[in-house]
Amino acid sequence: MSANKVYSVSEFVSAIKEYLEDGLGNVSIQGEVTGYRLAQERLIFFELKDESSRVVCFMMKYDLHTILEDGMEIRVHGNASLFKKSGGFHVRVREIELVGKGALNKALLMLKDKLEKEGLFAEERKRALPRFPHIVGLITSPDAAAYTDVVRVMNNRWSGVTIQFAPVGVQGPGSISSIVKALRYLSSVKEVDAIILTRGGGSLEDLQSFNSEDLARAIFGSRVPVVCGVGHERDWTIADLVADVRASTPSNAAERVVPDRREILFQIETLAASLEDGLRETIERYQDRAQRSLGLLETMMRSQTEKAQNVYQRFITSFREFDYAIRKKYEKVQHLERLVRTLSPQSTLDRGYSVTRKGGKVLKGSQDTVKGDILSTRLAKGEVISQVT
Amino acid sequence: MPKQLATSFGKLFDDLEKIATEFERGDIEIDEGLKKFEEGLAIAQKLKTKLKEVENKIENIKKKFEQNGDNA
Repeated sequence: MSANKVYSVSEFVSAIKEYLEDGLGNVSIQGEVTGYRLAQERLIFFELKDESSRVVCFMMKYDLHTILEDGMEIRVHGNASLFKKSGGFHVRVREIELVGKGALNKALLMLKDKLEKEGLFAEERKRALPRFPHIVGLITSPDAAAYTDVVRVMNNRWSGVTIQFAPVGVQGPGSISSIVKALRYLSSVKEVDAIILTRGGGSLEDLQSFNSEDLARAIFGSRVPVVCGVGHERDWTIADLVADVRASTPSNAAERVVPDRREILFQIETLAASLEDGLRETIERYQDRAQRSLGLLETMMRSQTEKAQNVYQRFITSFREFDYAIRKKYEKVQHLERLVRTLSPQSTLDRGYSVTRKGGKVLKGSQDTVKGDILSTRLAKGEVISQVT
Repeated sequence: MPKQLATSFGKLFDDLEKIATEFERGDIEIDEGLKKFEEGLAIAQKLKTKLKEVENKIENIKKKFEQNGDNA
């Protein structure tokens, strides 16, 4: 009997632990949760059971990304192991998937409610996509139609874009963490303008990764706007609700991210045409302005001409007045002349009087003469020279 | 470099829209207007050429993001 190797207890537990972990490797087990409890705020214990058996499960809280409670049907991924201290057999759980519509729906609605209250779906935080992106991140499965659809639609619509493609599993174990990693990486690349996260449609079970809290928070924390497009329009996921833009399908996600070449071409044509209209209107405006200036000039000229005519008229009128005044004066002079003429010495002479002068002086009486004086007498017509005797 | 092409596409498109808006406002001087008009048409022509020129490119970044994720 002593041929067997003698282990210390801890050696034995370690050996079994190693044997289980290495020999069995990773396992997935499906069952119903019972006896769920949280210890020290970070250790989770529960049992997984079916009709005839049950097994203890242990996991760290940070590995739990879903709501978990007794009665839920779940699938755990992990490995068989032993607790070093107690030697107790258990499954060391790394990841949990909810199974069955009831559990999934319940977890989904609870998470939706929680994130909504935190404001992760708020419209006001949603960012607009750049009009002409140059680098677009694409997170999806390389094998799925979603990938082909996105690339095809992008090529049909637009050119000059670099697609940084992160191939990931979109469902099953490990998918959440690889999607989150891809998202964080793309968000950290400065030149990336937008990220497309997409997959085909599927059952609630298939869509679990897109309904995970971790992914929701990674989308929320992304520096770059995220467009989420899942399968067909009737499917909605938490990722859709958090994303900046919710596309209905993978193709639609591509349509939302890049513009349509034909539309842009049309816009360019329209803009060019509007430039022509603009230029024509500018020219017309200047023509109008010139026309107005010309009109103004004409009005000014007309008013100047009118002013000149007015002056001329006034001149004519005042000239007539002047003419009249002169005529009046002339008539008066003529009258005076006639009057003067009647009063002149000549008219006295004409009536028969005469004027006698001695040495040029008018002689007024005979006493002013002496014998021998020479006198000249002016008659109406002619003159007589005589000598006093 | 697709990045430069795309950047200048966006920039050129913005420039074209800006010129169109200036014309729409209708307060442009005629000399300036003629200059802008010619500039706008040249931009439109460049944009149209660019639309025909380039294709999309796909880069697989599997290694990059997985390393990055592990370091984080």
